[in-house]
Amino acid sequence: MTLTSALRIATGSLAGNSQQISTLSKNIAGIGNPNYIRRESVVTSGIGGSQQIATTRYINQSVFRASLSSSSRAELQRVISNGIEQLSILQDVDGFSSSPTALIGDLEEALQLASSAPGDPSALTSLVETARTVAMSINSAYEQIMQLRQSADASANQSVININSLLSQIKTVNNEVVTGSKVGNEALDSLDTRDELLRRLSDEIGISVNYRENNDIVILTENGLMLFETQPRNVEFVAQPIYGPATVGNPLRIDGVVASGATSPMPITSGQIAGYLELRDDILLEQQHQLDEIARGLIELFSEYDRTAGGSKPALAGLFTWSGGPGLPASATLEPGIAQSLMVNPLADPFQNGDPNLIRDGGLNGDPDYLANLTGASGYSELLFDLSARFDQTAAFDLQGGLPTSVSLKTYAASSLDGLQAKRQTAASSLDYQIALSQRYMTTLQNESGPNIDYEMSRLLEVERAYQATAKVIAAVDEMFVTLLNAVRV
Amino acid sequence: MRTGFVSTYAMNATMRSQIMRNQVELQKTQIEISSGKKANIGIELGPLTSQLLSVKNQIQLITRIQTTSSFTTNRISTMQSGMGTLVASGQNFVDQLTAELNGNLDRSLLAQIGNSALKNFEGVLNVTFKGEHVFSGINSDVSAFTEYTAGGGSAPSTAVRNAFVTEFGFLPEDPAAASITPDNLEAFITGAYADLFNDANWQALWSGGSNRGMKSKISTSEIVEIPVTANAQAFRDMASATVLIAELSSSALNPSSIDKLAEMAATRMMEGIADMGAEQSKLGVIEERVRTSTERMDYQVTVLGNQVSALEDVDLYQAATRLSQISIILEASYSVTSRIQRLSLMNYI
Repeated sequence: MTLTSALRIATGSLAGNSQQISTLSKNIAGIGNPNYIRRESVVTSGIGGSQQIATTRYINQSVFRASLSSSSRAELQRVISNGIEQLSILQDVDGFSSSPTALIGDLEEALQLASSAPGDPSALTSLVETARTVAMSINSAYEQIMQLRQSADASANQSVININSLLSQIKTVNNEVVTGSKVGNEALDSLDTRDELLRRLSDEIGISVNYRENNDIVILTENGLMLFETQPRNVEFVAQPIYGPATVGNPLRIDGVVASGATSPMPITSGQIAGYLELRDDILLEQQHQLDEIARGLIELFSEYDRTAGGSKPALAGLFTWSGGPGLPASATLEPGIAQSLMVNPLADPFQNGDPNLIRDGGLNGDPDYLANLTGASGYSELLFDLSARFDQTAAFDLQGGLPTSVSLKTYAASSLDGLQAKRQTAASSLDYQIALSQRYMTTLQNESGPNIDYEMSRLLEVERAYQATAKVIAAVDEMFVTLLNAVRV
Repeated sequence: MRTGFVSTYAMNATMRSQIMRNQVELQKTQIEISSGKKANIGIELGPLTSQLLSVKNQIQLITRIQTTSSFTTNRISTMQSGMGTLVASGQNFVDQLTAELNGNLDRSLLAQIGNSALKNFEGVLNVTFKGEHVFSGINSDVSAFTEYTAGGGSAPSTAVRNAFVTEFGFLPEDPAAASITPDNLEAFITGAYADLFNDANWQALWSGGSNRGMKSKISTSEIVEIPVTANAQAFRDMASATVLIAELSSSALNPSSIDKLAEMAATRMMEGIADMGAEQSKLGVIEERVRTSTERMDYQVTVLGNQVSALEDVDLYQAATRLSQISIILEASYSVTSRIQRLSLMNYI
């Protein structure tokens, strides 16, 4: 061993120390970044006391992948839960006072008042007013449902735009990683960026990531449709600008395969976009159908029939009518858009030159065969009693509403509310669970891969001491050289 | 080798999210304590939400029925007091006529008795409650007794006079009327005159009332009909008694026939009074039914109200305990956070 070699080792050590300090300072800078993955300097000793410093990135891949899929599911739940919440808020003003169930209750009450004073025009007018409020609430709830469907469609479209842009960014970064790996230079910062992009992609759509040689990745949707393999695949969606009663939303296509809706061979199951499509095609559509059925039920309930013996004229619209009135919509058959055109019959509406007394007497449409109060007595209340009894009578509803089909209108409206609130309850609790789970994964991942300031500081002290010691060695060697050279001169 | 490693970010983030969660809970508890009701009914009740609404609807409906069945009660008591008045004044009418019998008949006094009894009868039968003629049954916009002016001044009076002319061949004021014997008069009163008060003529001439009484709902399942209208026999008897005196007292009948007239009118009135008691008791039965059903509904409202509070109310004691528990946890979190934030290797370097 010579003094020169001691000096060379010390110089090498200084270089190693400064490289470690640069890694440590990077880690310290990443303290506040939740996505930062800690670098670790690994020191290996070579022949003749030389040092090699390798920097590695410390990430637990299995936890990373689990955290991706749990965040996709949490995003799905978040979208669904928000959608149901918005839908419920429409009704849940002041204890659900504008839900169809409460509105039907108001109608029953107004009928009771009218039947107790059938000769009093103000009681019948107030029945018409209540009916107007009911029709208008149902109209506006229906329009809001269609707006919500439209906005779910627009959000799905935005999500598709995000997915495509993320996939093209991933392509660039992935190329850097692969090229770096091939030449043996791990592009650590590009890996960070790629992980970050994957995380953002998994918020939009559930993905599964597979790793190949040279750190290359292949991205599939959770159910196996190809999203990225060397090149991003096409994710296509055509937004519908306007939603009407019969509008059917377009499906999502991934790599040419239909990935949403009943006809899809492989429907996507998680991520925001799956949530938006489920809202648009299932939850909101079902509510829309139920509202249509409730509106149709109301028109049917207040309808009037031919009262002559053996009379066979068709039943006609009564207090409530629709765009296809005065004929009734087909029984037990969904009539899309009827909740939008539901209105108080102008023939009974005093503000449209109608006569509210016709609700008491029957024969609203001017045909005497439908008249119930034959003598025109002003105290006649039989028809009003008959109408209020119909609220509890079984009617037939369309299967598409997703509710029992042979129940009273009152029960039908109640089941509709219960169905939605049950979904709301489930969505809220499963959202809580998914968020907690996803946070748990994030915490685990951060604990495994994130920097700890105390750890980094103590490492810093260590390196600082090593640097001081090395400097001491250089100074000592230098002094020894001086001593040696002085001795030689003498 | 790595032993348990903690990321600084994760440590702070966990603390933050824990505090956040507690604050959300705190806000919810605050709302519950200040309103006494669950903070978010739909989420808490889920598929039971409509139960709450239907119970509330039922309470609303029952309260409404209680209000409207009080209309029925008022209608009935208006009728009852009117009928009470008719019985009392009918009794008075009979007393006055009986006093006038025995030959000392003053015709002008008799006419006065008749007219005042008639006005009284008219007033009672045409009484209205909230604009409805209570004695007219379902024809509530028509008066129950057409205005009567003796001497042919109104349609019913003309009909009576025409019947008289048909029977005897001259008007009651004609001096020839003095020749009518008490037996002739009795035949007229029980024959042609009585026919004027049969079902068809009563409705055509005297009254716009209907045979069918007003119906009203007195509970969610019970509908009652007010069983008395002006078409009842009692009213017709009273009308025929008073009209007899009012129309014929100023006629040219001889004194013994006038005696017969007064006697028959008193008999009719007495029959009317007797029948009226039966009608009053019919009304009383309905009045009692309304009263018991209102009482039953009071009880129902109480029971349903309990159901509502079981569904939507929070246990205030429990909520208050929860609030103080959350505050303690929050305070602990704050102090732990600040301690941990102070804890750093930096302070020792």
